Amino acid sequence: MYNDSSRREFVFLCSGAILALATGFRRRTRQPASCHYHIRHVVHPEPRPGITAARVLPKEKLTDHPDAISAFEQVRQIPQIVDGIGCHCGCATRAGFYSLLSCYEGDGMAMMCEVCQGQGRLAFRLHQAGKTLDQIRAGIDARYG
Amino acid sequence: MLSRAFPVFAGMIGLALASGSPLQGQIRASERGQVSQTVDGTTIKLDYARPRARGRDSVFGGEVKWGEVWTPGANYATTLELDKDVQINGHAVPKGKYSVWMTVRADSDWTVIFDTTAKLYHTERPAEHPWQIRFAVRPERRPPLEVLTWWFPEIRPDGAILAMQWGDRYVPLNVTVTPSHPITIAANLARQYVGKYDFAWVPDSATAASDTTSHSSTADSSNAKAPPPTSFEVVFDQGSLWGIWDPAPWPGMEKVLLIRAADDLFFPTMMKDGQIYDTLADLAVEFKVANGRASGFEVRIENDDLIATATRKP
Repeated sequence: MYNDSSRREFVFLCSGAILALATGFRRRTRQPASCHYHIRHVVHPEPRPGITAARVLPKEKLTDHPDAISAFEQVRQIPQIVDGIGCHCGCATRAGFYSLLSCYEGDGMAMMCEVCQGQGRLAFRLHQAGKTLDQIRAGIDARYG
Repeated sequence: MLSRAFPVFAGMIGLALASGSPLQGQIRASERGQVSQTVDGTTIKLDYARPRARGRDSVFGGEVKWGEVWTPGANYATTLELDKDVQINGHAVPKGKYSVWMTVRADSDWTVIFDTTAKLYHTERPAEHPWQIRFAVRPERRPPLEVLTWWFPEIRPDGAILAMQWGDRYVPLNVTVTPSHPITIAANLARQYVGKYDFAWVPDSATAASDTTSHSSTADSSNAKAPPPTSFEVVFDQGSLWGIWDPAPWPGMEKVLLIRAADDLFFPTMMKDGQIYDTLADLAVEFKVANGRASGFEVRIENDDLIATATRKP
Protein backbone atom coordinates (compact mmCIF):
# COMPACT_ATOMS: atom_id res chain seq x y z
CA MET A 1 0.00 0.00 0.00
CA TYR A 2 2.85 2.36 0.76
CA ASN A 3 5.05 1.64 -2.19
CA ASP A 4 6.60 4.39 -4.27
CA SER A 5 4.20 3.68 -7.03
CA SER A 6 1.13 4.50 -4.97
CA ARG A 7 2.82 7.60 -3.59
CA ARG A 8 3.64 8.85 -7.04
CA GLU A 9 0.13 8.12 -8.15
CA PHE A 10 -1.25 10.04 -5.23
CA VAL A 11 0.86 13.11 -5.87
CA PHE A 12 -0.02 12.85 -9.49
CA LEU A 13 -3.67 12.70 -8.55
CA CYS A 14 -3.37 15.70 -6.29
CA SER A 15 -1.53 17.68 -8.91
CA GLY A 16 -4.39 17.16 -11.26
CA ALA A 17 -2.60 14.99 -13.78
CA ILE A 18 -4.88 11.99 -13.61
CA LEU A 19 -7.89 14.21 -13.22
CA ALA A 20 -6.76 16.15 -16.24
CA LEU A 21 -7.10 13.04 -18.33
CA ALA A 22 -10.41 12.04 -16.82
CA THR A 23 -12.27 15.28 -16.32
CA GLY A 24 -10.40 18.06 -17.99
CA PHE A 25 -8.27 19.18 -15.07
CA ARG A 26 -5.09 20.93 -16.11
CA ARG A 27 -1.89 19.00 -16.68
CA ARG A 28 1.44 19.57 -15.04
CA THR A 29 4.23 20.95 -17.12
CA ARG A 30 7.50 19.06 -17.47
CA GLN A 31 10.64 20.08 -15.65
CA PRO A 32 13.37 21.28 -17.99
CA ALA A 33 16.65 19.42 -17.94
CA SER A 34 18.37 22.38 -16.29
CA CYS A 35 15.90 22.40 -13.41
CA HIS A 36 17.54 20.49 -10.58
CA TYR A 37 14.51 20.56 -8.35
CA HIS A 38 14.61 22.07 -4.91
CA ILE A 39 17.90 23.52 -3.89
CA ARG A 40 17.45 23.90 -0.18
CA HIS A 41 19.60 26.90 0.54
CA VAL A 42 19.78 29.87 -1.75
CA VAL A 43 21.30 33.28 -1.29
CA HIS A 44 18.73 35.90 -2.13
CA PRO A 45 20.18 38.71 -4.25
CA GLU A 46 19.54 42.38 -3.73
CA PRO A 47 17.16 43.80 -6.34
CA ARG A 48 19.05 45.79 -8.95
CA PRO A 49 18.18 49.51 -8.84
CA GLY A 50 15.88 50.49 -11.65
CA ILE A 51 15.15 46.90 -12.66
CA THR A 52 12.09 46.55 -14.88
CA ALA A 53 10.09 43.75 -16.44
CA ALA A 54 11.06 44.83 -19.94
CA ARG A 55 12.81 41.50 -20.63
CA VAL A 56 10.09 39.26 -19.16
CA LEU A 57 8.75 37.12 -21.99
CA PRO A 58 5.42 38.34 -23.37
CA LYS A 59 2.33 36.20 -23.69
CA GLU A 60 2.93 35.76 -27.42
CA LYS A 61 6.10 33.79 -26.67
CA LEU A 62 4.25 31.39 -24.37
CA THR A 63 1.74 29.86 -26.74
CA ASP A 64 3.16 26.38 -26.15
CA HIS A 65 2.87 26.80 -22.39
CA PRO A 66 -0.50 28.40 -21.65
CA ASP A 67 -0.46 27.22 -18.04
CA ALA A 68 2.61 29.37 -17.41
CA ILE A 69 1.16 32.61 -18.77
CA SER A 70 -0.33 33.75 -15.47
CA ALA A 71 2.99 33.32 -13.69
CA PHE A 72 4.72 35.48 -16.29
CA GLU A 73 1.98 38.10 -16.06
CA GLN A 74 2.26 38.23 -12.28
CA VAL A 75 6.04 38.45 -12.31
CA ARG A 76 5.79 41.25 -14.85
CA GLN A 77 3.89 43.28 -12.23
CA ILE A 78 6.52 42.96 -9.49
CA PRO A 79 10.01 42.85 -11.10
CA GLN A 80 11.58 44.75 -8.20
CA ILE A 81 10.38 42.02 -5.82
CA VAL A 82 11.18 38.99 -7.97
CA ASP A 83 14.66 40.39 -8.64
CA GLY A 84 15.34 40.08 -4.91
CA ILE A 85 14.56 36.38 -4.80
CA GLY A 86 16.96 33.51 -5.43
CA CYS A 87 15.61 30.49 -7.25
CA HIS A 88 15.30 27.12 -5.51
CA CYS A 89 15.22 25.04 -8.70
CA GLY A 90 18.95 25.09 -9.31
CA CYS A 91 18.90 27.41 -12.29
CA ALA A 92 21.21 29.83 -10.48
CA THR A 93 24.11 27.94 -12.04
CA ARG A 94 23.01 29.01 -15.52
CA ALA A 95 25.03 31.65 -17.32
CA GLY A 96 23.52 35.11 -16.95
CA PHE A 97 21.35 34.19 -13.97
CA TYR A 98 20.87 36.90 -11.36
CA SER A 99 17.55 36.24 -9.67
CA LEU A 100 14.20 34.51 -10.10
CA LEU A 101 13.43 37.27 -12.57
CA SER A 102 16.13 35.79 -14.84
CA CYS A 103 14.03 32.62 -15.13
CA TYR A 104 11.31 34.65 -16.80
CA GLU A 105 13.65 36.38 -19.25
CA GLY A 106 15.74 35.18 -22.19
CA ASP A 107 14.74 31.61 -22.99
CA GLY A 108 12.09 31.84 -20.29
CA MET A 109 12.96 28.57 -18.61
CA ALA A 110 10.20 29.26 -16.07
CA MET A 111 7.68 28.31 -18.73
CA MET A 112 8.73 24.68 -18.20
CA CYS A 113 9.70 24.78 -14.53
CA GLU A 114 7.02 24.37 -11.89
CA VAL A 115 9.33 25.51 -9.10
CA CYS A 116 10.04 28.79 -10.93
CA GLN A 117 6.35 29.26 -11.64
CA GLY A 118 5.38 28.44 -8.08
CA GLN A 119 7.89 30.87 -6.60
CA GLY A 120 6.71 33.63 -8.95
CA ARG A 121 3.06 33.06 -8.12
CA LEU A 122 3.73 32.79 -4.40
CA ALA A 123 5.77 36.01 -4.49
CA PHE A 124 2.86 37.70 -6.20
CA ARG A 125 0.32 36.40 -3.69
CA LEU A 126 2.43 37.41 -0.73
CA HIS A 127 3.11 40.84 -2.23
CA GLN A 128 -0.62 41.28 -2.78
CA ALA A 129 -1.12 40.39 0.87
CA GLY A 130 1.17 43.25 1.86
CA LYS A 131 4.24 41.23 2.81
CA THR A 132 7.71 42.78 2.69
CA LEU A 133 10.50 41.42 0.50
CA ASP A 134 12.08 39.72 3.51
CA GLN A 135 8.76 38.12 4.42
CA ILE A 136 8.28 36.99 0.83
CA ARG A 137 11.78 35.48 0.81
CA ALA A 138 11.01 33.67 4.07
CA GLY A 139 7.73 32.36 2.66
CA ILE A 140 9.45 31.05 -0.46
CA ASP A 141 12.25 29.46 1.55
CA ALA A 142 9.71 27.72 3.82
CA ARG A 143 7.77 26.39 0.86
CA TYR A 144 10.55 25.51 -1.59
CA GLY A 145 13.68 25.30 0.55
CA MET B 1 72.16 5.22 -4.29
CA LEU B 2 69.69 8.00 -4.96
CA SER B 3 72.23 9.92 -7.04
CA ARG B 4 72.84 6.84 -9.17
CA ALA B 5 69.17 6.10 -9.65
CA PHE B 6 68.24 9.66 -10.55
CA PRO B 7 69.57 9.63 -14.15
CA VAL B 8 67.63 6.42 -14.85
CA PHE B 9 64.46 7.85 -13.37
CA ALA B 10 64.91 11.14 -15.22
CA GLY B 11 65.50 9.21 -18.42
CA MET B 12 62.26 7.29 -17.98
CA ILE B 13 60.35 10.52 -17.44
CA GLY B 14 62.04 12.02 -20.49
CA LEU B 15 61.12 9.02 -22.63
CA ALA B 16 57.53 9.17 -21.45
CA LEU B 17 57.28 12.85 -22.33
CA ALA B 18 59.04 12.41 -25.65
CA SER B 19 56.78 9.56 -26.69
CA GLY B 20 53.72 11.66 -25.95
CA SER B 21 52.02 8.83 -24.07
CA PRO B 22 48.67 9.83 -22.61
CA LEU B 23 49.63 9.76 -18.95
CA GLN B 24 46.38 11.37 -17.90
CA GLY B 25 44.49 8.37 -19.21
CA GLN B 26 46.50 5.78 -17.27
CA ILE B 27 44.66 3.50 -14.93
CA ARG B 28 45.53 4.24 -11.33
CA ALA B 29 46.22 1.47 -8.87
CA SER B 30 43.44 2.97 -6.75
CA GLU B 31 40.93 4.90 -8.80
CA ARG B 32 39.14 7.80 -7.17
CA GLY B 33 35.46 7.34 -6.36
CA GLN B 34 32.68 9.39 -4.82
CA VAL B 35 29.43 8.54 -3.12
CA SER B 36 26.86 10.93 -1.72
CA GLN B 37 23.44 10.71 -0.20
CA THR B 38 20.90 13.34 0.74
CA VAL B 39 18.62 12.64 3.70
CA ASP B 40 16.01 15.21 4.69
CA GLY B 41 18.06 18.00 3.16
CA THR B 42 21.42 16.95 4.59
CA THR B 43 24.00 15.80 2.05
CA ILE B 44 26.66 13.32 3.13
CA LYS B 45 29.52 13.03 0.64
CA LEU B 46 32.50 10.67 0.58
CA ASP B 47 35.45 11.09 -1.74
CA TYR B 48 38.05 8.33 -1.69
CA ALA B 49 40.55 6.34 -3.67
CA ARG B 50 39.57 2.69 -4.09
CA PRO B 51 42.37 0.17 -3.55
CA ARG B 52 41.91 -3.37 -4.76
CA ALA B 53 42.83 -6.49 -2.79
CA ARG B 54 44.41 -7.98 -5.95
CA GLY B 55 44.42 -11.50 -4.66
CA ARG B 56 45.78 -10.70 -1.25
CA ASP B 57 44.24 -13.09 1.22
CA SER B 58 44.40 -10.81 4.17
CA VAL B 59 44.13 -7.09 3.63
CA PHE B 60 44.00 -6.30 7.31
CA GLY B 61 46.94 -7.56 9.28
CA GLY B 62 48.86 -7.60 6.00
CA GLU B 63 48.64 -4.62 3.67
CA VAL B 64 47.09 -2.63 6.52
CA LYS B 65 48.95 -3.46 9.70
CA TRP B 66 47.16 -3.98 12.99
CA GLY B 67 47.41 -0.94 15.20
CA GLU B 68 47.98 1.35 12.23
CA VAL B 69 46.15 4.65 11.75
CA TRP B 70 44.88 4.11 8.23
CA THR B 71 42.70 6.09 5.86
CA PRO B 72 39.97 3.84 4.49
CA GLY B 73 40.99 4.54 0.92
CA ALA B 74 44.36 5.20 -0.67
CA ASN B 75 46.62 8.01 -1.85
CA TYR B 76 45.05 11.21 -0.52
CA ALA B 77 42.96 10.52 2.56
CA THR B 78 39.29 9.76 2.24
CA THR B 79 37.19 12.83 2.93
CA LEU B 80 33.75 13.17 4.48
CA GLU B 81 31.83 16.34 3.65
CA LEU B 82 28.62 17.39 5.43
CA ASP B 83 26.51 20.41 4.59
CA LYS B 84 24.68 20.27 7.93
CA ASP B 85 25.47 19.08 11.41
CA VAL B 86 24.85 15.37 11.96
CA GLN B 87 25.42 12.71 14.55
CA ILE B 88 27.50 9.66 13.70
CA ASN B 89 27.20 6.72 16.07
CA GLY B 90 25.79 9.21 18.56
CA HIS B 91 28.71 11.64 18.27
CA ALA B 92 28.07 15.21 17.11
CA VAL B 93 29.83 15.96 13.83
CA PRO B 94 29.47 19.61 12.76
CA LYS B 95 29.06 20.43 9.09
CA GLY B 96 32.35 20.68 7.26
CA LYS B 97 34.95 18.58 5.51
CA TYR B 98 37.09 16.02 7.29
CA SER B 99 39.76 13.51 6.45
CA VAL B 100 38.69 10.05 7.60
CA TRP B 101 40.96 7.66 9.46
CA MET B 102 40.59 4.39 11.30
CA THR B 103 42.85 2.72 13.81
CA VAL B 104 42.52 -0.94 12.91
CA ARG B 105 42.87 -3.69 15.49
CA ALA B 106 42.77 -7.44 15.20
CA ASP B 107 40.56 -8.43 18.10
CA SER B 108 39.02 -5.29 19.50
CA ASP B 109 37.08 -2.22 18.43
CA TRP B 110 38.50 0.06 15.79
CA THR B 111 38.68 3.81 16.31
CA VAL B 112 37.13 6.10 13.72
CA ILE B 113 38.83 9.50 13.45
CA PHE B 114 37.50 12.56 11.65
CA ASP B 115 40.22 15.17 11.35
CA THR B 116 39.45 18.76 10.45
CA THR B 117 42.42 18.87 8.06
CA ALA B 118 40.78 17.37 5.01
CA LYS B 119 43.67 17.39 2.55
CA LEU B 120 46.21 14.89 3.85
CA TYR B 121 48.21 12.23 2.09
CA HIS B 122 47.71 8.74 3.43
CA THR B 123 51.16 8.82 5.01
CA GLU B 124 50.37 12.08 6.86
CA ARG B 125 48.57 10.39 9.71
CA PRO B 126 47.17 13.09 11.97
CA ALA B 127 48.34 13.19 15.55
CA GLU B 128 45.63 13.01 18.19
CA HIS B 129 44.31 16.44 19.11
CA PRO B 130 41.23 17.80 20.90
CA TRP B 131 39.35 18.99 17.84
CA GLN B 132 39.36 15.55 16.26
CA ILE B 133 36.22 13.47 16.49
CA ARG B 134 37.07 9.97 17.67
CA PHE B 135 34.85 7.07 18.56
CA ALA B 136 34.95 3.29 18.69
CA VAL B 137 33.27 1.00 16.17
CA ARG B 138 32.94 -2.74 16.04
CA PRO B 139 33.83 -4.09 12.57
CA GLU B 140 31.83 -7.02 11.28
CA ARG B 141 33.03 -9.99 9.23
CA ARG B 142 31.46 -10.27 5.77
CA PRO B 143 32.22 -12.25 2.58
CA PRO B 144 35.29 -10.52 1.09
CA LEU B 145 35.01 -7.52 -1.20
CA GLU B 146 37.78 -7.01 -3.76
CA VAL B 147 37.56 -3.21 -4.03
CA LEU B 148 37.35 -0.93 -1.01
CA THR B 149 33.84 0.44 -1.08
CA TRP B 150 31.89 3.09 0.77
CA TRP B 151 28.11 3.05 0.31
CA PHE B 152 24.76 3.69 1.95
CA PRO B 153 23.09 0.31 2.47
CA GLU B 154 20.25 1.77 4.55
CA ILE B 155 18.33 5.04 4.39
CA ARG B 156 15.81 6.12 6.99
CA PRO B 157 13.71 9.27 7.31
CA ASP B 158 16.12 10.52 9.96
CA GLY B 159 19.43 9.23 8.68
CA ALA B 160 21.34 6.47 6.97
CA ILE B 161 23.93 3.80 7.45
CA LEU B 162 27.21 4.79 5.84
CA ALA B 163 29.32 1.69 5.41
CA MET B 164 32.87 0.84 4.41
CA GLN B 165 34.10 -2.59 3.42
CA TRP B 166 37.37 -3.92 2.13
CA GLY B 167 38.34 -7.54 2.28
CA ASP B 168 36.19 -9.19 4.91
CA ARG B 169 35.86 -6.22 7.27
CA TYR B 170 32.65 -4.22 7.19
CA VAL B 171 32.32 -1.02 9.22
CA PRO B 172 28.83 0.50 9.49
CA LEU B 173 28.44 4.10 10.66
CA ASN B 174 25.02 5.25 11.81
CA VAL B 175 24.41 8.81 10.57
CA THR B 176 21.51 10.74 12.07
CA VAL B 177 20.57 14.02 10.40
CA THR B 178 19.02 17.13 11.89
CA PRO B 179 15.29 17.13 10.99
CA SER B 180 14.45 19.89 8.53
CA HIS B 181 11.16 20.46 10.32
CA PRO B 182 10.11 19.26 13.76
CA ILE B 183 7.21 16.84 13.75
CA THR B 184 5.84 18.19 17.00
CA ILE B 185 4.00 21.43 17.54
CA ALA B 186 3.18 23.36 20.69
CA ALA B 187 -0.32 22.74 21.98
CA ASN B 188 -1.24 26.43 21.96
CA LEU B 189 -0.25 26.69 18.30
CA ALA B 190 -1.97 23.46 17.35
CA ARG B 191 -5.22 24.54 18.97
CA GLN B 192 -5.98 27.12 16.30
CA TYR B 193 -6.05 24.49 13.55
CA VAL B 194 -7.88 21.68 15.36
CA GLY B 195 -11.40 21.04 14.11
CA LYS B 196 -13.51 19.60 11.32
CA TYR B 197 -13.42 20.96 7.79
CA ASP B 198 -15.41 20.48 4.59
CA PHE B 199 -12.77 19.61 2.02
CA ALA B 200 -13.28 19.97 -1.73
CA TRP B 201 -11.02 19.45 -4.71
CA VAL B 202 -11.04 22.41 -7.06
CA PRO B 203 -11.88 21.74 -10.70
CA ASP B 204 -10.29 23.88 -13.38
CA SER B 205 -13.45 25.82 -14.06
CA ALA B 206 -14.01 26.58 -10.41
CA THR B 207 -10.41 27.66 -10.07
CA ALA B 208 -10.71 30.01 -12.98
CA ALA B 209 -13.80 31.57 -11.47
CA SER B 210 -12.63 32.00 -7.93
CA ASP B 211 -8.85 32.17 -7.90
CA THR B 212 -7.47 35.61 -8.66
CA THR B 213 -4.20 33.98 -9.63
CA SER B 214 -5.98 31.74 -12.11
CA HIS B 215 -4.23 30.26 -15.10
CA SER B 216 -5.42 29.88 -18.63
CA SER B 217 -8.10 27.27 -18.80
CA THR B 218 -7.65 24.19 -20.88
CA ALA B 219 -9.92 23.83 -23.85
CA ASP B 220 -12.23 21.32 -22.22
CA SER B 221 -12.26 22.89 -18.77
CA SER B 222 -15.91 23.80 -19.09
CA ASN B 223 -16.64 20.12 -18.71
CA ALA B 224 -14.47 19.76 -15.64
CA LYS B 225 -16.13 18.35 -12.56
CA ALA B 226 -14.63 18.19 -9.11
CA PRO B 227 -14.34 14.87 -7.32
CA PRO B 228 -16.86 14.49 -4.51
CA PRO B 229 -16.20 16.57 -1.39
CA THR B 230 -14.84 14.89 1.65
CA SER B 231 -14.41 15.56 5.33
CA PHE B 232 -11.08 16.50 6.85
CA GLU B 233 -10.51 16.61 10.58
CA VAL B 234 -7.43 18.14 12.17
CA VAL B 235 -6.52 16.62 15.52
CA PHE B 236 -3.73 17.22 18.01
CA ASP B 237 -2.36 13.92 19.23
CA GLN B 238 0.89 12.97 20.96
CA GLY B 239 2.36 16.42 20.40
CA SER B 240 1.76 16.43 16.66
CA LEU B 241 -0.91 17.71 14.31
CA TRP B 242 -2.74 15.14 12.20
CA GLY B 243 -5.18 15.30 9.33
CA ILE B 244 -7.84 12.61 9.01
CA TRP B 245 -9.62 12.23 5.70
CA ASP B 246 -13.02 10.59 5.37
CA PRO B 247 -13.04 9.15 2.81
CA ALA B 248 -9.33 9.14 2.05
CA PRO B 249 -8.42 10.36 -1.43
CA TRP B 250 -5.92 7.54 -1.78
CA PRO B 251 -5.03 4.40 0.19
CA GLY B 252 -2.58 5.22 2.93
CA MET B 253 -3.82 8.78 3.24
CA GLU B 254 -6.52 8.14 5.82
CA LYS B 255 -4.41 9.83 8.48
CA VAL B 256 -1.49 12.08 7.64
CA LEU B 257 0.94 13.88 9.87
CA LEU B 258 0.96 17.63 9.26
CA ILE B 259 4.52 18.92 9.50
CA ARG B 260 4.79 22.64 10.14
CA ALA B 261 7.15 24.40 7.71
CA ALA B 262 6.26 27.97 8.68
CA ASP B 263 3.42 29.95 10.23
CA ASP B 264 0.18 28.37 8.99
CA LEU B 265 2.07 26.32 6.37
CA PHE B 266 2.16 22.52 6.63
CA PHE B 267 3.26 19.57 4.51
CA PRO B 268 1.20 16.35 4.70
CA THR B 269 3.31 13.35 5.57
CA MET B 270 2.51 9.69 5.05
CA MET B 271 3.29 7.34 7.93
CA LYS B 272 4.06 3.65 8.01
CA ASP B 273 4.40 1.55 11.14
CA GLY B 274 4.56 4.69 13.25
CA GLN B 275 7.46 6.10 11.25
CA ILE B 276 7.59 8.89 8.70
CA TYR B 277 7.40 7.34 5.27
CA ASP B 278 7.18 10.27 2.87
CA THR B 279 6.70 14.00 3.28
CA LEU B 280 4.72 15.41 0.38
CA ALA B 281 6.58 18.70 0.17
CA ASP B 282 5.02 19.36 -3.20
CA LEU B 283 1.62 19.71 -1.49
CA ALA B 284 1.41 22.84 0.61
CA VAL B 285 -1.41 23.12 3.15
CA GLU B 286 -1.93 26.81 3.93
CA PHE B 287 -4.30 27.60 6.80
CA LYS B 288 -6.18 30.87 6.93
CA VAL B 289 -6.05 32.06 10.51
CA ALA B 290 -7.74 35.05 12.07
CA ASN B 291 -8.00 35.83 15.77
CA GLY B 292 -6.26 32.61 16.70
CA ARG B 293 -8.61 30.33 14.82
CA ALA B 294 -8.31 28.78 11.37
CA SER B 295 -11.34 29.36 9.18
CA GLY B 296 -10.10 26.97 6.52
CA PHE B 297 -7.16 26.06 4.39
CA GLU B 298 -5.96 25.74 0.82
CA VAL B 299 -3.90 23.01 -0.78
CA ARG B 300 -1.48 24.10 -3.48
CA ILE B 301 0.90 22.12 -5.63
CA GLU B 302 4.43 22.91 -6.74
CA ASN B 303 3.51 25.58 -9.27
CA ASP B 304 1.27 27.20 -6.63
CA ASP B 305 -1.79 25.97 -8.44
CA LEU B 306 -4.78 25.74 -6.09
CA ILE B 307 -6.11 22.18 -6.08
CA ALA B 308 -8.30 22.02 -2.96
CA THR B 309 -9.95 24.21 -0.38
CA ALA B 310 -11.38 23.47 3.02
CA THR B 311 -13.77 25.43 5.19
CA ARG B 312 -14.23 24.93 8.91
CA LYS B 313 -17.52 23.27 9.75
CA PRO B 314 -19.83 25.32 11.92
